[in-house]
Amino acid sequence: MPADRLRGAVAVAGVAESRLGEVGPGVTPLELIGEAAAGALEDAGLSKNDVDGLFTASAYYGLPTVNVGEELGIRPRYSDSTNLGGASFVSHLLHAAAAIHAGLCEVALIVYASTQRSDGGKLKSVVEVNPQEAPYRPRYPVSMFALAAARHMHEFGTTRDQLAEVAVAARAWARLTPNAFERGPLTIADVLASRMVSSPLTVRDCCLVTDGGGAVVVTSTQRARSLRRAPVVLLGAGEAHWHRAIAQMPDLTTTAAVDSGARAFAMAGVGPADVDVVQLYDAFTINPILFLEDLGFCAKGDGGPFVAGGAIAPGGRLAVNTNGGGLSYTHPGMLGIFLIVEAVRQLRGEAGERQRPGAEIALVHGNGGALSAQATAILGTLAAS
Amino acid sequence: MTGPDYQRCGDCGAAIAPRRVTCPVCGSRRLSGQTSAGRGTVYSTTTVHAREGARNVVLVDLDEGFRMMSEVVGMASDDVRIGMHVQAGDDGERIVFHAC
Repeated sequence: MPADRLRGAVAVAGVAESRLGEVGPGVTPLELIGEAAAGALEDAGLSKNDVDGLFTASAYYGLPTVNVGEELGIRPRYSDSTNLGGASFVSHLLHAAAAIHAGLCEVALIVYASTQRSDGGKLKSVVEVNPQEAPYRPRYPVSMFALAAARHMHEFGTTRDQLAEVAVAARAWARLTPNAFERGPLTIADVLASRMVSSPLTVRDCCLVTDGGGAVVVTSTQRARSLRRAPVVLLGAGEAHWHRAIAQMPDLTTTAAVDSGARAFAMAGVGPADVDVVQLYDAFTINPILFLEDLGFCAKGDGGPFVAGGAIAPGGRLAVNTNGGGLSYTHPGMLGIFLIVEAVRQLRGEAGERQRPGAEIALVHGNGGALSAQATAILGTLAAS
Repeated sequence: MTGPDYQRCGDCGAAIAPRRVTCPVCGSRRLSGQTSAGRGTVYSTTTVHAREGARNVVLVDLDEGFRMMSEVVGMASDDVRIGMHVQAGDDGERIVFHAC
């Protein structure tokens, strides 16, 4: 069966976030999952008893859909805890589309939360110790992305100013987003002058550490048409991974987003020029530069010049990470679910001051591990489908 | 001075590290254990700034055709350059590299 049969088959019917930022001690990730799930189901006009497909990934729970099912009182007939790190939730969109299209479930809930900040600010992670890496004490994950940034600078002349542009653009978007975690002014000079963590990346080249949760309800486009909100249709999606450890990545300047993006665009039958708004997992400032190249928004090596001069900031040539992303909006361990939520809000035209006027097609891209797992989805309004 | 161990695929010739049962390129099980001469080139480098001081983390491309994470010792971390030729040594606990 050709993958393009999934084009338009399912739609996002509801989205919500839990409390974000710093929730304080004593709040569990499951409580934030409860907040987000209840919000998304209410948004869709559905109840937890309508949910028969459950999708989550977690750094806290070993059997995450099982924990979430118990917490919410959901008894799924389709359960998927695929863990591609931060790419998980974009991957779950594809998996939910396949399951719904195959008749294995009808209403899918994709949900995630973390209390990473209130847990003490450390990256909560079930990541295994790599015996090839441990003797050299890289700071995981920032050093892996720093190695990619250094290589990109070496091969293509990308500059630290251009990396900083990504953080500055994210902050400019966050200043238009009422609940963004960081809303103070930020300049390129501020980014360059901040504390070096793993060269060439400073602390302002790194994503936030926050608490928070998000949820997305997916169902058949046919059913979504009868629900409360305007459906946001899944036009295409793809996933790919080529390596786990950074030393196994064939070329540190090219990610498997080349494949995930090509698969998503092929299914959707659109190209980069058709995309109105882009949400890219910006764990570090090098990420959007790599993904803009690998997804075809510019040529390989041109990502630095592409983002320069405010080009991905409000009023620029391409609207990227319109709520401020992981760098300025929120980053509770894994970002993927929030990228989907923001894309849906843009396509519904409810993004307030940061709204991209007339947005019809959005691209969402998640990254997991050390530039390892990549998942891309293309969403559109009913009119664009 | 000898370098890190790796494997050579008897079918496609790929250099493989860390150790595996099957070749990740062609799937062959005909892998033979080898020891590198320890000569390589810095593929990328970062300086990790920690409370106890700065140290570098590098990826080194060994001349035999595989890549590994390591540290270049004997020089200031920020002076380590991509493209620098390096030679493996042993600091008693792990394989490290020196500029050569």
